Amino acid sequence: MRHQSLLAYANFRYLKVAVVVVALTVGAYLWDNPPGGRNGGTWLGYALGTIGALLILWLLWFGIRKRRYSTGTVPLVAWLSAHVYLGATLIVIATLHAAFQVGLNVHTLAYLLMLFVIFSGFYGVYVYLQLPRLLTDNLGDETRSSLLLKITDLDRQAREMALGLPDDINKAVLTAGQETRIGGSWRRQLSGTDPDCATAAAVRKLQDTGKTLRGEQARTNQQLYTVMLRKQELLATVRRDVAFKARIDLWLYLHVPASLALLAALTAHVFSVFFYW
Amino acid sequence: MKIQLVKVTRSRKGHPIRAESTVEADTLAVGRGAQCAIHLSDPRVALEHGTIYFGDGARRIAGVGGAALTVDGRVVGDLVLAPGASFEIGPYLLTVEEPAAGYDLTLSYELVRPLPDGLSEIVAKSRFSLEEEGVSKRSMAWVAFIVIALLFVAVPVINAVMPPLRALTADLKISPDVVWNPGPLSAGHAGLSYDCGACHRTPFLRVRDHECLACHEKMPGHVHDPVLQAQLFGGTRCAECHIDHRGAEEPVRADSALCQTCHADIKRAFADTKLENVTDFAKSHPAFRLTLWRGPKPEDVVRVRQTDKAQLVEASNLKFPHDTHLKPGLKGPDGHETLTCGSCHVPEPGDRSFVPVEMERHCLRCHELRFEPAITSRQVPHGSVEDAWLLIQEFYANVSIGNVPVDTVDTGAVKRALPMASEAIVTDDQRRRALSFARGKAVQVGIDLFEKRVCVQCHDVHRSPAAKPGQEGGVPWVVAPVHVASTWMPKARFDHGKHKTAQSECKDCHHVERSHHSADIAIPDIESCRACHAGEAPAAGKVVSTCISCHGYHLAADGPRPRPVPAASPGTKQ
Repeated sequence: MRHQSLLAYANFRYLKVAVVVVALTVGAYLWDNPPGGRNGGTWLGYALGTIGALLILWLLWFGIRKRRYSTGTVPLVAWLSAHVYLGATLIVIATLHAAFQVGLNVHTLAYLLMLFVIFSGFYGVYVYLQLPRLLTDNLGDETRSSLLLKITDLDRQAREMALGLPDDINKAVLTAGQETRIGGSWRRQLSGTDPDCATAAAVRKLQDTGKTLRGEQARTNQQLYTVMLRKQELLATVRRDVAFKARIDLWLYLHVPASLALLAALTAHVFSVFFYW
Repeated sequence: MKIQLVKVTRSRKGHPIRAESTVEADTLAVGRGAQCAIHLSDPRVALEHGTIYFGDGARRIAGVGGAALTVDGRVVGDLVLAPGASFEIGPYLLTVEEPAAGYDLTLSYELVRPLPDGLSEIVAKSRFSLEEEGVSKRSMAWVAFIVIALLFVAVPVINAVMPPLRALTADLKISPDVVWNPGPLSAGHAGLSYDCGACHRTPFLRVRDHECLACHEKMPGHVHDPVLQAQLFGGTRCAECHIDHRGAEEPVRADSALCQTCHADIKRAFADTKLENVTDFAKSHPAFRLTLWRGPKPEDVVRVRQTDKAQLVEASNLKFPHDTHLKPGLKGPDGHETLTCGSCHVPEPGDRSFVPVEMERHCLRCHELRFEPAITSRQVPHGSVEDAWLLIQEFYANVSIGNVPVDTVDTGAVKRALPMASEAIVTDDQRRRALSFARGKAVQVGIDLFEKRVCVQCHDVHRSPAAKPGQEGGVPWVVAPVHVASTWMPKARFDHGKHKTAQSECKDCHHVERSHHSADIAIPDIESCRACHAGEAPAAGKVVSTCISCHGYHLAADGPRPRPVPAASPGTKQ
């Protein structure tokens, strides 16, 4: 069976649904010309608000539904496809519900949070569609653990080679082995680089001090340099792998907490409207 | 110096395995380097770490180039190798044993701190996922949810339901519930922006009329008739139409739909009304009705539809031919001149309407009221027949009895007729004759002035039934009261200033060039307005016009209107 992306699921069924929903919403908005102007408080405003709020609750339910892989007759990919497309319709539904009115209040806060959640979701779709390919391209036939084993092996080789070399080179190689770390802070994970990489420092060291060596030591140093370069490459690959995974993680770090923040703001929005009716 | 070296390794169960070897030298190098006699192959050992030598009567070891020897955690540079002594070089523990037979020194060394496994070391130092950094999505989500719920639900609710707290926060520029404000209040209510409870007194109930009337207590109702007021608005909350939080403008409905609720089928609601149905200015609006004056009594004022041409005449009692006045090259006091509309119709300040045309200001320059132009430039006053008649009588009396005629030019015409002009009038007979002459002259001039030459030019003048010109006392003429309309359509607003555009001229709307009678009415009809004014729907080259573009809400309502009856409660809305 050909792999079908969540966007193209069932021949774009949910895209079609979303287009119809958007067309109906825009049509109703243009048709309705209430006294006092379009507003969230007209019958259409309430209607769109109710639809939008129910839609948000349904979209939030996906966070629970996705953990129950086996339940239900509708496959998860169908849920996800509908989640993406119907979620996107909220941009139109909520904007027309608000009739383009914004202010410094909880209502606009809810609106902005909703937009943030939706656009972080778009980023998530991009990440899910693009990153698997990038991950595969990066790792090739390797896995992260196989790369790590290779790195430790290279470290061992390098240490042995450096035993016969001057202390500063030996120390740099030892440090490069002992101080190898991958990822770390969010920034390091997401950037896929480590500005304090001990291996990179050792490579630089080998380049510099290598020139002063002669004979057997110079040859050993040359071999050591090759080994350390290889290690540096593998490290870069693993760090890229971590960076791609971090990006996948990151969008959920944006999407999920913002969704809950939206739920709170939406509650405040609806509650306040009826509290001070 | 003969030294026994013992390399200690451990079996799997931890038992020591000793591998002995012998070296003979005066000095002995210890280090990582292959050339060292004591070869400690570990990257944590220097290439040449130390030297064993004999000095000061003892065998010693010294670090080379600052390489460290460690004894019980202390770093030493030099150490006597006495039996029982032990020290560390890098990860190795070296122990001086009792010298074996035939040896000067027995030294054992063991790698006590091997390098850790590389893989587990890397894994321990690395963070492969964002979650490992100690922040979970779940905790972030909870924090975000709770912070927003507290700030935007809990705090405003507590503020709202605790009157003492609300009183404290009402004056704050950022009161807790201001975050709930969906939009700016109208200018009149803006002062309440930080005190939501001023109008929203009861949670979950819509703003009720008595909450509005708490401030607007003297507000009149919308229509005069209390029965009608109750019928029209009895079940309607004020706030259904007066919707606030929509910006600084007054919270009143300005849409035609509101008017149409009654006026689209006005006869259904009010069978005896004289109004016709209206829905839209372009599509459905009856011909204008002009308010015309027919007499001094209130009931004499009539409203005539512009389609009723027979009735469409102005009864101003003034004779005024617009066409004559607009002819070019009229003869004026200062020579020939051509009048324009603006010669008489002067805009009032603000340009909304016009200053009323006044005889003294606009007509008198050409239409002088001289009664004896041959001998005097004096004129009778305008506006009062009585005053004018009195002036004429007094003038001729004065002329006939005075020795020196007042304010006259001596042409001989009057003077010659005076008898004994140089003598004092002393006898009754002489006085009567003089008075008789004066009266006769006044009557003659009055008839000429009122009936033939001056007044009658513009006015409808007839003899008074109560007095005759020759009789003493009374005013012999009646000038019909003039009533020139200034407001033709009092139920609508019209601003001339707004209609001054680059394209417009007076004659575009007011066709007076060929009007020869003051009965003609030059108020444009609805079709003229529709040339530029569309209805609610935009039309090319036209101005969109809603009901309130011209009409006010039940405008021209004078006198007190009944107070609105508060709708009982939001639940009773019909």
